[in-house]
Amino acid sequence: MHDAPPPERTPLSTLLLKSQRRTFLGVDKQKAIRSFFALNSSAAIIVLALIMIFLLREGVDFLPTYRRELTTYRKAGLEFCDLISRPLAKHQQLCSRLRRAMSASLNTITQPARLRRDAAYQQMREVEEQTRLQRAVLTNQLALIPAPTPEKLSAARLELREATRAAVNRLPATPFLTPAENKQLKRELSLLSPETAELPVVLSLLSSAYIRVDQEAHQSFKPIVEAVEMFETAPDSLHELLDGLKKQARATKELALAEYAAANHKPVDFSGRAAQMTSQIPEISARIAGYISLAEKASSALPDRAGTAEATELLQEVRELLPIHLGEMKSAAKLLPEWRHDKRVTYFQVVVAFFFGDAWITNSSWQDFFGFVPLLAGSVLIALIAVLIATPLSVLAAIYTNQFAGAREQDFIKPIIEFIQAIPSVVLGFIGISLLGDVIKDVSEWSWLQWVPGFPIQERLNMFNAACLLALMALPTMYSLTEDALNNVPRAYIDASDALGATKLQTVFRVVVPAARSGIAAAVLLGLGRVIGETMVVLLVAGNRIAIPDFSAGPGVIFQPAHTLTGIIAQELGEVSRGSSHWQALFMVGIVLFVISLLVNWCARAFVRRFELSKS
Amino acid sequence: MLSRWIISTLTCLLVAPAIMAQSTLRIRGSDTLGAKLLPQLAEAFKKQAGKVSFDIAAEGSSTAFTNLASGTAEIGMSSRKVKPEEGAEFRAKGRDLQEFEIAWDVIVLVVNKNNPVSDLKKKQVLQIFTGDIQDWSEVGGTPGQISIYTRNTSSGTYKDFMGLAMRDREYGANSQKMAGNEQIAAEVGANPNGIGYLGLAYAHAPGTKIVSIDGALPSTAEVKKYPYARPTFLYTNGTPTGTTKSFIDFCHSPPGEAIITKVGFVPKSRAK
Amino acid sequence: MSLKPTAGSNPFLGAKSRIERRETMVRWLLRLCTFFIVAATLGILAHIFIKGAPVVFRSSWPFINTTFLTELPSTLHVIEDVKGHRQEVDVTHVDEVKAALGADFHADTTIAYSGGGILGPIVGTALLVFVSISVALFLGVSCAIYLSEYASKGKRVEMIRLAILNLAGVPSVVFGLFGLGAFVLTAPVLTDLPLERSLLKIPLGFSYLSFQGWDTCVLSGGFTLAFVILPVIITASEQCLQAVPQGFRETSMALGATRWQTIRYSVLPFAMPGILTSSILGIARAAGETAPIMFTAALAFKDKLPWQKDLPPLPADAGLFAQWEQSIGRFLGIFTESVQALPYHIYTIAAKIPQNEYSERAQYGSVFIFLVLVAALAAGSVLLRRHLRAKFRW
Repeated sequence: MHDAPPPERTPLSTLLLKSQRRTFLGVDKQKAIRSFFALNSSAAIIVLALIMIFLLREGVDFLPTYRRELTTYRKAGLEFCDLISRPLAKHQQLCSRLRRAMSASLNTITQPARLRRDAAYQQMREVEEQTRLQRAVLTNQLALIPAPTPEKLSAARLELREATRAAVNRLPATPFLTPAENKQLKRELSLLSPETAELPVVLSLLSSAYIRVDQEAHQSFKPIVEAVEMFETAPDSLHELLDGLKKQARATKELALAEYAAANHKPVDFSGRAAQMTSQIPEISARIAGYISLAEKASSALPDRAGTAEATELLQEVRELLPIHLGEMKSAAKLLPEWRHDKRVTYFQVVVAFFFGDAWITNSSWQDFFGFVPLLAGSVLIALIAVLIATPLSVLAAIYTNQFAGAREQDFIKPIIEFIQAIPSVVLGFIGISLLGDVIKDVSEWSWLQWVPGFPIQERLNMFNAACLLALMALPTMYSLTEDALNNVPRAYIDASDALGATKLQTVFRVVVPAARSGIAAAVLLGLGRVIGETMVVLLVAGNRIAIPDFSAGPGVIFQPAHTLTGIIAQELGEVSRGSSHWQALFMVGIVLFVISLLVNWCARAFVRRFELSKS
Repeated sequence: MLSRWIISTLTCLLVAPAIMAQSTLRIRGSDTLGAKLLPQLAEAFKKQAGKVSFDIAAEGSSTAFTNLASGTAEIGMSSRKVKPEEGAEFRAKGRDLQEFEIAWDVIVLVVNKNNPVSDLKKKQVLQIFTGDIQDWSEVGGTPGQISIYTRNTSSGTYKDFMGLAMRDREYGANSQKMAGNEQIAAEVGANPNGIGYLGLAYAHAPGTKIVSIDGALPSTAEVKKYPYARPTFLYTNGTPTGTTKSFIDFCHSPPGEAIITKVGFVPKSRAK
Repeated sequence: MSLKPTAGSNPFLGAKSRIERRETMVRWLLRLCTFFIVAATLGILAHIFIKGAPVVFRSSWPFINTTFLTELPSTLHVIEDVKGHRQEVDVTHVDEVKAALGADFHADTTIAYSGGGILGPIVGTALLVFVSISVALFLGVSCAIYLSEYASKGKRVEMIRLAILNLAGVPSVVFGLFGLGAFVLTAPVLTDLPLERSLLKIPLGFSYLSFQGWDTCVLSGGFTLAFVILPVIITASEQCLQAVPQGFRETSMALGATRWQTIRYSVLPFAMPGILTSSILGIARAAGETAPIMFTAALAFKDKLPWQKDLPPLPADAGLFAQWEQSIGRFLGIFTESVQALPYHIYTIAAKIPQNEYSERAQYGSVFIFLVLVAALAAGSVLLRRHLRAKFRW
C-alpha cells in the first residue's frame, strides 16, 4: 500500500465544513493524532535506548568501584600475599598426584582386605537400613523416662529381632567373603540391636586385618610413602609465615573498608603497614629457598617405579612438573622486592581484569574477583554445541518438508515443530533436571558406548544436557527461517535444473540449497543468538560450576558442568545489595549480553541483505 | 476502544503509589532457616496467635540484610553473623540492627551411600573443598574424581563453611553451586563420587551417608563440640514491636523450641 | 493366478539404478532427521502428560482434581508411623493425625511447596499477562497503525523496523535487568514520603512525584513483559492492518472522511479481530517467560491471593466515600504487590526441592497445567486465525 498513496487532495468535508476545524495550541486534530501515533511508533527505539541507559546507569560505576577494590587489594598487601600463594597452590596439585600414586601403589596390597571389610560393612548398613523403623521404636522405648513395662520392651525387641532376621535372610552372600565367613556374618548380623554398642566380631576382625595389611603396605612402599610425606610437609614453614602475613593484610583491608564507610574515620597508615610486610621479604625468600630444597630432596627420593603403571606415570608427571613449579616460586621470590603498595591501578588494568580475568569469585573472605572468561567460555561452548546439534537437524528437516514431503506429511510435521516454540523454557529446564539428565547418564553407562570420550559421565547436570534442550529451543526458529529461504529460491532455477535432466536430489543439493545459502546462514546465526540469550535452561541444567572448562579432557569436555552469562545474572542478582560491586558487575554482564545480541542480529541482517541482493 | 486503554493505563500509572500496608510479616533470608524451620514456626504461631499472615522468601542470608535495609522485610533470618560492612551500612543510615540467636545448626558432610569413605580428617575436608584433593583414592576411597556440591554464594552456609572448615580459603574451581540444601542432597544421592554439606535437618536424604569428622558424628546433644556447628540468627530493624516481637518471643518459648528440635536444629537454651 | 504384478514379473519395473538407490537412501535420511525432531517433541510432551495428567484428572466425578486448581501452594507433611505406613497430610491436620497415632507416630517429613494446589501462581500469571498485554497492545497497535497507515518509506521507518528486529533479539534476562533498573527502582510514583534513593523529587503541593520505582510488583513485571512481547504484537498487528483491502480506505476517503475517521471506522474494525487473535500468541509468550519477572514481580511463596489483603477496618461511621476509597485501594493493591507466577513457581519447585514421589506430583502437575494453558493459547490463536481468514475473505 506504500506504493499507491491516496491522492493528495483536500477532503471534501474539509472544504465544506471548514468552520468546524478546531485547533488546539495551533495544532489541528488530525496532526495531533498523527504525531501521537508517530510517537508511539518510536516505542521500540525508545525502549532499546532505555535498556542501554538503565543498564549503563547501574553498571557503569563498576569500573571505578572495581578499581577502588583492586586498589585496596594492592594497598592492604593482599596482592603481596597472593604473589606467593598463587604459585604455591600448584604444590597441592602435585601433592594430589603423588597421593594418588601412593594410594594406587598401596592398593595393590590392601585391596583384597579392604574390599572384604567394605563388603561386610555394606551388609551391616543394609540390615540397619531395612530395620530402621523397628530400631527407632526400640530406641524410643528405651529412652522413655518412666520406663515402659517389660512386656512392651520385650515385644519391641522381639519385633526388631524378627525384622532383622528377615532382612539378613534377604541379603545376598558377598563374593568377597568365604562361605564360612558369610555364614558367620549373617549369624552375627541377625543379633544386631541398638542396645549393644560393640561391632559384630567378624567386622572387627576384618577391620583389624585391614589395618594390619595397610601397615604392611606402608612398610613395603616405604620410600614412596616417606617421599610423599616429605613433599607434603615441605612448604609448612612457608605457609606458617604466609598465614601471618595474610592475617595482617586482612586486618589492613578491614581498616580500609571501615575508613571508606565512615568518612570521619582516621586514615589508615598504608605505607607503614606495607613496610612491615616488605620487611619480611628476606625471611620469605629464605623460606622459599628452604621449600625448594626440601621439595627437590623429596622428588629425588621418589622411587622410579611405583606399584602400578598408572602410578609410575603419575610420579613421572610430578618429576616433569616440579621444576616448572619451583621455577615459578623462584621468580615469585624475585618479584617480591619490586612490589609497591602505592602503585596505581589503571583503568586499562581494571578492564583487562574484568574481560580477561579467569576467576569469578564472590562473597569471598579474602578478595572478590570478577573475571568474565569462565562465564563466557561456558556460554559460548554451550551455544556452540547446541547450534552444532540443531543446525543439521533443522536444515535437513526443512529441506525434507519443503522439497520432499507430501502435503499430508507437511500438515503433520509443521505444526508440531512450530509448537516447540510455545513450550516455555522453564518447562524444558525442568525436563532436563527430571528426565534428560538421568537418560544421558544411564546411556553413558552402557558398556558398548564406552569408546565415547567422557563416558561414563559423572554429572547429571552438564553442558551437553543443557545444549540438547537449547538445540530443541532453537530448532523452530532455524527451521522456519530455513524454509523461508528455500521458498524464496526462484522457481526458474528449479525448472532449469529439471530441464537439464538433474534428479530431484541433484536439484535440491546443487541448486536450491546453494541458492538459499545465505538465508540458511542467517537462520543459524539467529538460532545462535536465541541460544546465547536463553536463561532458564542453562540456569537449571548446566550445573553451575564457575570454572573454565577443562579442555584437556578432549571432546569429553562437553560433559562437564559450567556456568553462563545469563545464568549468573539470574542466580546472583536477587541476592546482592544494590550498588555493590557485585551488583554492578552483574549489570556489566548484562551490557555485554545486550551488545552480543545486537551484534548477532546485525550479522544475520548482513547475511540476509546479501541473500536479497544475490536473488535480484 | 483506544481511549479506554489510555484512561486505564493512565490510572494505573498515576495511582500506582498506593503505599503497601504493613499487614503481613515479611521474612527474608537464609535458606537453611527459611526452607523448613521458619515456615513451621510460622504455621504454629498462626495457630496460636490467629490473624497473622506470613510472606517468607529464602534465597540466602545476604538477602536478609538487603531486604531489611530497603525496608522490604520485618525479619531477616541469617545463618551467619552480620558482616561488618553490612552492619556499617545500617549504622550509616541511622538504623539499629537487632540480633536474636535462635538455634544452633550443624553442618553435616554427606557422601553417596555407596562410597566406602565414612570418616574424614578436618584437614582432608579442607583440602577437598579447596580443590587440593581431587580424587577419592587420596582419602582412601575408590578412585574417581570428587564432585563437590556447595551452596550458592549468597548462602550463609557457604560463608560459614569457609570459616569453620576451610580456614577462609576459596572453594575450588570445580565446586558446583546449588540452589538449596535439598538440591545438594539430591545430587550427592545420585552421584557416587559426590560430596556436599547440608544442615543437619536435611541430612537423612535417601542415597546419602553422613561422614564423621575425626571420628565424631554430629550430634544434637553436644553440638558445640562438633567442629562444624554454628549459631543461626534472626535480625530485626530496630527493637521489635507488635507482631514481630511476639513472633520472636514465640521462637524462644517452649513450644517454639519443641519445633526447632523437631526440625533438626538445637535450641539456643540447649546448645552445649 | 494373481493379477498383481510382482517385482519379478513386471517387465517394466527394471532393477533400481545406483542413483535411484542413493536417492531413496538420502530421502530416508532426511525423513529420519525430521521425524527424530517430531519424536523428541512428542516424547517430551507424552512424558509430561503421563506424569502430569494423573495429578490433574480423577477417575471419578468431577474428574478434575479440584484442590490442585483451587488451593494455594503449601507445605506437605508426610507422616510415617512405626509400621512404616505413610500418609500425606496438609498443615491444618498435622496435629490431629499425630494425636490419633499417639505412640505409633514415628516421623514427620515436610516437603515445601508440594501440598495444596497452584491457584496462587495461576492468578499471578493471569494478572501479569493482563497488565502486559494491555500495555503491549496499546503501544504495539499504535505503532502498527503508524507504520501501515501514516508512514511513508524513509529513514525513520527503516530505523523503527530495525529497532523492532533488534528488540526481538534481546535476551530475556536483559529485559529483567532493564525492568529492575527502570520500573522497580526508577519509575515515578506519587508519595508523601519520597525515599532517599529517589532519582528526582517533584513537589506537587499535595504530595511528591518521586522517581523511586514501583518496587517488585505486578505492574513492574507486567510492563517488563510488555516490552518482551512488543515486537510480536507490532509485527502481527501490521500484518492484519495490511490485510485490509486498500479499497476500504479509498472508499472512506472518497466519502470525505478524514484519515483518522478512515482508520477508526473503515480499517480498525476489520483488522481488530485479527490483531486480537494474533496477540494471543503474545499472551502465550508473556505467560511463559521467567527471567523478566524474576527480579520484577515474582515471589517464591505467598499464602494469600492478591486481593486478600488485611486492610485496617473502617470505623463504624465511615461514609460512602471512605468505603469507596478502600475498595479502590484494595483493587489497586492487586497490582502493587508481588505475586507468585506459574513459570517462577515451576523454577522454584524444580530447583529447590528434592525429586521424590511426593514432590514429583506438584512438579509434573504444575508443568502439565502450565503447558496445557500455553498450548491452548497457541493452538487457539492458530485456529481462530484460520477461522478469521476464511470469514474475512475479500
